[in-house]
Amino acid sequence: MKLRSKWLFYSFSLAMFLAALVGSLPGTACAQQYPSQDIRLICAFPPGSGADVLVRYFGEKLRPIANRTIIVENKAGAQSNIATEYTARAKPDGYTIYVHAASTVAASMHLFKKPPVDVTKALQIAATINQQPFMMVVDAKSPYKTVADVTAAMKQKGPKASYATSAPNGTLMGEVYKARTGVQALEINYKTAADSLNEMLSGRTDYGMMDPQYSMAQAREGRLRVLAVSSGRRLQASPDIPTMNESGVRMDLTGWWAAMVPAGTPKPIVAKINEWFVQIVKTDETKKFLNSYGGDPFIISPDEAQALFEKTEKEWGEYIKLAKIEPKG
Amino acid sequence: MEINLFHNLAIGFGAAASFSNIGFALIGCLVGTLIGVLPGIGPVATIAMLLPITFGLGPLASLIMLAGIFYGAQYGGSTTSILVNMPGEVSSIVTCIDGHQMARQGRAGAALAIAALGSFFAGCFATVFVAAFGPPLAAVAQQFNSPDYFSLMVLGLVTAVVLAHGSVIKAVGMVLVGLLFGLVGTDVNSGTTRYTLGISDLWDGIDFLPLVIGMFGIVEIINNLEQPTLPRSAASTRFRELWPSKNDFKESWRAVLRGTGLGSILGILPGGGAVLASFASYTLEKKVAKDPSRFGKGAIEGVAGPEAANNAAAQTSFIPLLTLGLPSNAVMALMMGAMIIQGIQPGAAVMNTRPDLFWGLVASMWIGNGMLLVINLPLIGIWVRLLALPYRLLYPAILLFCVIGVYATNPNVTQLMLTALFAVFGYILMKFGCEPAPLILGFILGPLMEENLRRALILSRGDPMVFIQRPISAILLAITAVIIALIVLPQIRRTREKAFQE
Repeated sequence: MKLRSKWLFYSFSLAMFLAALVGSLPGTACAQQYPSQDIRLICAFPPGSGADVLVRYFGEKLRPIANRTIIVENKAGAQSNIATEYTARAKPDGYTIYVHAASTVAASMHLFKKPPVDVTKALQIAATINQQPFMMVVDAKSPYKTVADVTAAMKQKGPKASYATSAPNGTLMGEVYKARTGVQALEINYKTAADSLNEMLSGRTDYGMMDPQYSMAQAREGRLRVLAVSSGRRLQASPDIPTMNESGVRMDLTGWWAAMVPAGTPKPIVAKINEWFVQIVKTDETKKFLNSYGGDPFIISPDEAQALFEKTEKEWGEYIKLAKIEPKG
Repeated sequence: MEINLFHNLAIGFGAAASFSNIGFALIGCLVGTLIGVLPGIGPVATIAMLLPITFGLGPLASLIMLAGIFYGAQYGGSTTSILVNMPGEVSSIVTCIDGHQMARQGRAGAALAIAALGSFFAGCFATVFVAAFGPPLAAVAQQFNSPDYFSLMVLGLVTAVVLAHGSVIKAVGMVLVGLLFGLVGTDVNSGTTRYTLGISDLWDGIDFLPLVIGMFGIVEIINNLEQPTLPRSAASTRFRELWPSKNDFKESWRAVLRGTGLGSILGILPGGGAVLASFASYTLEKKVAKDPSRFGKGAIEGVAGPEAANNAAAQTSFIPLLTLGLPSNAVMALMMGAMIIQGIQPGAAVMNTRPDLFWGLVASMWIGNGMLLVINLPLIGIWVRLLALPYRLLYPAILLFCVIGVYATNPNVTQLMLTALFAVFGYILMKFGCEPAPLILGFILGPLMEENLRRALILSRGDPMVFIQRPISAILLAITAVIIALIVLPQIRRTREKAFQE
């Protein structure tokens, strides 16, 4: 009898120990030759989300190359401000790498009244990962075949028209579209893109500005039709979808993902991280993986990337002003 | 349709019958039986405490394991009810009445076997029931727009109140407190922070884990420590024979059928579940019996019916969660939490996007029921001896496990302070006789309800008539109104009070 209770006690202890392992953080050791300790990838979304899968994919691929344990840390919330701030405040030693949409990080400077850090000064882009547009979608059963069809119909509908968005990028694309065309549709914001499907298929919303992963998946299922991408040029992955520019609505909203480190990280370490990520992004497997997210692999040098980061910050600021989006407090 | 059903079940068995998933089903069933046998630790607290662990598992594996705990507890609970007259689970309280009488008459074996076989039959039937009714309900769910979702959640919360134990006023209060907790955090549309008290850790709202672990896990430990230690031995129990006599079968098979049917239906209802089903089945058996005076003196129908009913209901209560994304009771709210942690929003879409998940879970229930039969019947002696386990070892271990669980999921000291705070709050609620289950439902459904309410009103440009114009929403609201009328009418209220006293 005694034995059994002991056994139970031990199994609880074992479970606790395992749980403690999950939660434990790596100790800090002094860096002699990079990398000499575990590397943390910071993800701005909760575990299991689409973005988390992307970060974990890179974590998986990085492990054999860096020859170190890679820990994915989820710092979700406040529209990625928490993760941005966390990275900016981390030691600039190359052991904290923030894998996220650099375009979103740049836009945060204009979406909030008090952005936590001056992102282009606080963060250094070590490597770029992909480029992905947002997409304009309609119900596959609807008569609209082009952006012009939608514009004409929405003008007729006036303020009665509604459209679905599910992320800040969708909001931005929707507002730029309205500013350029004079359409007066009302934005309906959804927490996740999937939530918007029923109302789009029942005709309560007329069109949507959605993330590429959701749009492409629904298009493959035959439920939605993708009319245009928000980027300046067509996607390599789906070259038959026209751009908004080609459709007569001037915009170049291209989201791009990057591996970011705190500013002040030594050059050789940045170069090392760049080398790792380039090696991963180059592979066919990664190309296929990124294409499935509705994006294309994207490789430029750290200096070019930093310049693009600053350019994106300015451009998106202009779009946000054009879209008359109020910065949040 | 028929062929589809089998095709789907084949997918499910393919997913569930992998070596590791069978292993997780077994772990779930063992843990479920264990906590079912041990009084004081219920499935809600256990699932809440194990949530952080599921984190590292795949979604299907974690659902299979958590589901196993839930229906495993229904089996295990009957064992102690019959042998020691101590219900391991709330849902097996009624099993004590006649089950323990049977044990005192030396028919413990027959009672245990009928309970297990009845549960097994009910479990198998409920599995087919979920498989058959899931898809049509999911098809309906795809017609749901924002106003319909809102009305559905109103209905869910109202029925949760009606079916909660004890005072209606307290249940309403708990739902409202839960809704308020759900409001904490940043408003999605305007970016304004609400009820965050200037604490930046609350910007994203109150996390699910500190709330449930504090209010269920830790409060349950405190509660148990307050109870005087009862002698927990299965004295004078003899297994004359495990196999029931022909006569036992003859007397109980109808009760099992009735219990299964009743349980399957009550399980689907929002707010329903295993507890309600077992009580309802006992009442029904007493009503239809030729000689109701036998009840309370060892009537085998009084064991067979409720045991079948609680197991059937435990399984069919997955239907609203998996098809509508609506948790019908606290356990389902936790399952929903587990799915969200895995990045899966429960609802009709799951069946299309992750058929392996839905059908795998359904198939695992059938596999699990088979395992439970083996775990429970031959090994019954071991489970009974577990009752002698000293709680002075068990409780500190569980407490530490709770704390590590919260911290591991979100390494942040605020989470632990929240857990402690909710434990104190939960303890106070318990002292006032307030059930925390409606609070959890309010907390889970609150944000969804708000989101759909606002979206529905934006789409209708502020016109509230939209809730009556859409047929689905109108029907749901009409049902809600009828239910409210029922509790307000004094006569029916009295029957309800009487029913719960039984």
